[in-house]
Amino acid sequence: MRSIETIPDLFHSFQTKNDEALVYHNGFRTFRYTYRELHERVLKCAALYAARGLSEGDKVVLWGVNSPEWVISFAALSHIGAIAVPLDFQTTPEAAEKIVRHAGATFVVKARSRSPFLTDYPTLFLDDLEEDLGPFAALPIKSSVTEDSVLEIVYTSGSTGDPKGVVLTHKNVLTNAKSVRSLLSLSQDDMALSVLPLSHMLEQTCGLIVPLLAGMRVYYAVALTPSSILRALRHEPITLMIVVPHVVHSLRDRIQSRIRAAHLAPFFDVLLRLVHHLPLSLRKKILFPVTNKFGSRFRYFVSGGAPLLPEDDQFWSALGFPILQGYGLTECAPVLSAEVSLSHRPQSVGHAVYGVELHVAPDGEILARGGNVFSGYYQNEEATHEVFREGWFCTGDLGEIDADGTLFIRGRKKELIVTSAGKKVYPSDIEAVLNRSKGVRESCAVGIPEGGGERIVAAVIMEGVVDLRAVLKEANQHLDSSQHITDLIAWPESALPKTPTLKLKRSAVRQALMSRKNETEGTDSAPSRVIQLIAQVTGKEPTKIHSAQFLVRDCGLDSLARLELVALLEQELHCDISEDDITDDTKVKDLESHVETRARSRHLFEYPFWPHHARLRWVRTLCMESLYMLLPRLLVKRTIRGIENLETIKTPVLFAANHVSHLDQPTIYCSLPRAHRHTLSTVGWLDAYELQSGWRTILNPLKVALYCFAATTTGLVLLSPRASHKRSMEHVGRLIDQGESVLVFPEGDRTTSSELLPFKQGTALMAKSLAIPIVPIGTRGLERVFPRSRILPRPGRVYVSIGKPIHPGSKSLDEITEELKEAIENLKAE
Amino acid sequence: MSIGIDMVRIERVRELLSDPAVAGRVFSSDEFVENIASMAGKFAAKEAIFKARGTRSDWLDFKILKRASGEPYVATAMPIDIKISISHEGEYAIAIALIETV
Repeated sequence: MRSIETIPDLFHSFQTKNDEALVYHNGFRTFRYTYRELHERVLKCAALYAARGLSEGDKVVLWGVNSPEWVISFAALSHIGAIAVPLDFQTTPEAAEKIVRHAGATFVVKARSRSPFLTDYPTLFLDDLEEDLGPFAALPIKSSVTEDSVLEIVYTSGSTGDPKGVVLTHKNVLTNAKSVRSLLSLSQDDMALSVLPLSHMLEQTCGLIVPLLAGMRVYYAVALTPSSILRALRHEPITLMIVVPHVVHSLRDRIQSRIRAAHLAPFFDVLLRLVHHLPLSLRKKILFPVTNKFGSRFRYFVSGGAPLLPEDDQFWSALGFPILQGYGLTECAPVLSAEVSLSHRPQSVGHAVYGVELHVAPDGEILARGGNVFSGYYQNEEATHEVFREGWFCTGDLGEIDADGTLFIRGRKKELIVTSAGKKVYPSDIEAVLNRSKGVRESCAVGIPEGGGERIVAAVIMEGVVDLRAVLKEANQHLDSSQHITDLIAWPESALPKTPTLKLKRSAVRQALMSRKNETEGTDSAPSRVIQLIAQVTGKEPTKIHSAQFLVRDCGLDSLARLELVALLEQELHCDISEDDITDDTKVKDLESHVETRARSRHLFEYPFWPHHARLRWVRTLCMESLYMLLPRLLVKRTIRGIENLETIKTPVLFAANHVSHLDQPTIYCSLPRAHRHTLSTVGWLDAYELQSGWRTILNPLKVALYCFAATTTGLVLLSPRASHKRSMEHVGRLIDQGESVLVFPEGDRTTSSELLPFKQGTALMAKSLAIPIVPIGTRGLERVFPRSRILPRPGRVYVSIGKPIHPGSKSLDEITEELKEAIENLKAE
Repeated sequence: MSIGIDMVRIERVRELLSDPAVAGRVFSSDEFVENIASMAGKFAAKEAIFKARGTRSDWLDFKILKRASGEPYVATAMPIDIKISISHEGEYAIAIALIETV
């Protein structure tokens, strides 16, 4: 086998590999790709790009969320020698325009939801990729890509100034990935949960290329709220996560508020301290109620991008989930050093990884050299010149390397505060103290010029109503006299300004604080974060919003503002919230307590899944085989046509049939081959079964029991019009994930005439959301055997015709519905 | 039979769409088009449907799509028939929804 020197080499090694590579949850169901399938799609995609006129050296913007389509597009670009320009999905349209122009990109590959933006360029949509690949063949590609070819230009804002494009070659990325791969113990049984954007080099190298080198799996999910992370951990054998510190921090926050809510906090704290000396596996067992939330296989976190809080480090390692900390920069693709031993030294970022040379300059700046270090910023010689000194890359970070080569980070070079007493102060030291104070969410310390030196001023983001004076006093107690904070200010926005890689923009904070120097000192108790956010979306003064006010009536929260608020609460405070949580009767304080207690979002409707669980499938099979299979013997003579149409398709599918009688489902069941009928569920609407009042209410225990009985014995799935479409599809998606096919009656109700009722769009919507083919089935004869008007059935002949599958693809809902109706009409007439 | 109407400033919808997380809460992938005024019309249509029904639900429960003829229609899994009409002029988009059976 040839050695892997370029991304195409890496993918070439996948062509005969049948292990699973990527797992993707699209919000409804799970899709799985083996290494071979991935390779095939990449080749097809490369052919698609070539057909769109793209060739070597073209710059292509990639603007979407993490998904197999992103990975396929990225790899395909590398195959034809085109240069990817990955954009953070959260990039504002204005910034995106600026980057596209600077990079000179000529083509855009983006998510459909970005359709209204970057409209002046030829475009492909990631959402339609699977469909677009259809006509192309997976032929080997002859390209002149070498290890020194440019793979991508990654735009970083750095901490100051305009975006800079970091030019990375295949060699930069692969050298780094191989070094990291050799550090971590990874096998094909491992699965990484992807939570960082692929436009971030930490995720791209450590979260994608390293797993691909190791032959393991990567799990992608569309939505990444704390609860969806926990759901993924529960359902898939995830063993590690690549994170930035705020991810582990908010997960810890969540666990601790749950424990507080259960009044177990003191007990838990003692337990955490006690287990510290026990082996990892034993800790996990003792703390089972918490650790089992991470599934049985979870092993460790890999953290980078920003310094980790020591408290988070201690908390997770006490739980038995150590955090391996690394240090790096986009310019270095990105890892420079990493901590590999589980009993690492606090606050260190480990040793230089293989192939990287580290050196600390006399002024304290960390310098780096190695195959992973980039060659320069795209069309910005000045900036490039600034960061290279005699062949060394100047990181701009300050640090120390001790005798055994362990690196410690001490802050950023330019953000050093020099006090009037000539003392040098690292802002990160002050922030570390502030961040530990109760009620402080994040902080930023800067130096404001005064009397020949600088005085230290800090901006903080508070959680809840906290007395700033007390925070200041407490923090100064923990600081050297030279480090004392002279002024503490509540930052007026919901978060401190940060770069896309979540580094503090200290210069922006500094500028803002300097301009408000003359204003009165803002050390009064700050409005709560929730009120700040409400103020932000409604445009009101935070001081005019009080806890007792109604959100809609008093704060003027209209539907657009409500949407923005919910999104902000989710993004900024990482809480689980839906628009259902804000009604006309919601007061500001209700929302504050929702955030405070990290409550789960109130879902109006939950579907019970247990009756459908694969483990109970035998009950259903037993009941249906013994009961339904009597039908053809006793009552119905059947003529089955079109069974060969099922041979070519793999389960699961959506069967759609006309509906005339209660015997439709049993008759179709009997007519399907064993493989299909043993995994058949039937979807109906709750209303049709007169359960409108909602079967979760205590008033209806009988109906609930009846539902669960019917579900367990006949595979009946009832969807409620009260639940959102999303929830209903998630429910059906889980069935599909466990290999179930689904039978639906698109007419919605039994007909009394021989004509079909108008088709509802539900079937087409379901097929599209779940991306499964529809197999039309037409039955004739049951309208005489057991019509709606009869109490008892009578014997007769029934014709069951199975049609060819209809693939939803990019057809419109109307087209699918029309095609289905026509198909069933024809089959019925056969 | 019930009706609902809603008007929205197109610029506000542009702002809303510039945050992908918010955009994804309101519209599903197949509803997105390049034209912001059309997106604003779709937003107004969803709001009008909520008003006609007298209750809010998930934004994604109702998809506002266009036939080849350009005529807008509502796609929903719910057993209700909804007719809509959308228009925009200058800074505003407006939509009206009519529900025949609830």
